[in-house]
Amino acid sequence: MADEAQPGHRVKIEALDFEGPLDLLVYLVQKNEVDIWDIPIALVTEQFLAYLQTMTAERLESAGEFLLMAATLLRIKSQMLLPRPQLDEDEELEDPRRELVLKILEYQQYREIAGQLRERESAGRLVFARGMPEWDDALVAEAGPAPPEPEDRVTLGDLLRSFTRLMEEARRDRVHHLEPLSVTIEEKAELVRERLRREGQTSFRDLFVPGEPRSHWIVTFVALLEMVREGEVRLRQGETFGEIHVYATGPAT
Amino acid sequence: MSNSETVARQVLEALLFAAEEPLSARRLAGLLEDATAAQVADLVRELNADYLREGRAFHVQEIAGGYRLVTRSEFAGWIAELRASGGSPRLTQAALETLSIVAYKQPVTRAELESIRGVAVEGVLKTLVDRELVRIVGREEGLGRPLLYGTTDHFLEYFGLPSLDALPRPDELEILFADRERQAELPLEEPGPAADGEE
Repeated sequence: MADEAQPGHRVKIEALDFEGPLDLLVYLVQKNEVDIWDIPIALVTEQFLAYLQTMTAERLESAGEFLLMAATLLRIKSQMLLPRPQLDEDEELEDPRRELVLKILEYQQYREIAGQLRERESAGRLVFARGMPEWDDALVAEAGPAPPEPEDRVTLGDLLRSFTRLMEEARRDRVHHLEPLSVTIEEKAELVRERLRREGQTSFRDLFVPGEPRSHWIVTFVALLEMVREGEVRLRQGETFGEIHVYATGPAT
Repeated sequence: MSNSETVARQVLEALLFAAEEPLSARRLAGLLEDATAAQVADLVRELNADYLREGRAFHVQEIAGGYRLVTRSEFAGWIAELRASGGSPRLTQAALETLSIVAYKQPVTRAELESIRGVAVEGVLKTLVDRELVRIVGREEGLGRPLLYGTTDHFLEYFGLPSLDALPRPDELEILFADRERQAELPLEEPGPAADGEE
């Protein structure tokens, strides 16, 4: 039976790197030359787990994804071992592997398309048009050394530092009073978006309206963090500890 | 060939030469006066035939819903030397896979992309947005109102695609898919016929 893991079947995969658990599964199915619709789940699970053990420390951030898949494989394996219930004539038994197989196939499809895009990318690198963005580099080279790039990497530390400074300044010249939080993160995010639509960019400092309750500032700050996380805005800092600028990455909607 | 046709072709050539981005057939038709998009397509074909006959180093390429002049690939080596850098870095496998899904499923949320790829795509999505291959196209209604992503015109330009239709049609893929699915629905007791060895 193909489902039996034989020692001779062990596949050397330790040195390979995979995009994710599905990528590894596709590899195992092909390497073992098994029918996608009749995957020997015990064998594949064993090989999958063997690979997991070899994962190096730098891949650990994706270990969770691999572990989740390992759990799925083990669940399917145990379902395959359960005795099948008696079925009526026209009743069909759902193969426990089916859902996983469809997922593998869908992923495989997109990987094929990715391969086609890779070929197109290579072909595209051989043709040149006027006004292509890459030309800017050539023109810059002719004009002399490029001016220093503004620092793109604004860390959370930079942001917190700027924000704390603002809050400190506000504390100094305002009377402290409490009020209920009357504004949502989404409302503040929309204000930021509106501003970016109008002005294209803004300084971090200008997002915080003087005289506004500080609770609003905090909500604005959280909204901004959320927008950075979603890739909706980008931050740049001219120099270390300098002014932080906020840019929209796409058309805000 | 009439004189006016020759002039139209020259005007078209001048427009394409001067433009810094692909010009749509409709835009060209408007600039050429009294021309239709179909006539523009004819003129482009004639222009390309001329270039080929005369052994020119460039031709008109149909791309991102328009036309532009590009050099022929055999001259890539010389042009690359002219350029300061090697151009933008190639996309990673993760980026290409994510892009493929965005191209077909757009507008699509990050969660959908992650479900299909089985891995987190946050970082790769940011790279794609930074490189203007993907953009935020809106928000999905419902819980959390997640952002929706779609491809850009630059995506078409980068991959030399006239339009999104130039990708393998999704319904062709679905047919392929449905075929396999039917096999899967065969009861367990009777193993389905062997896959007809397409790959």
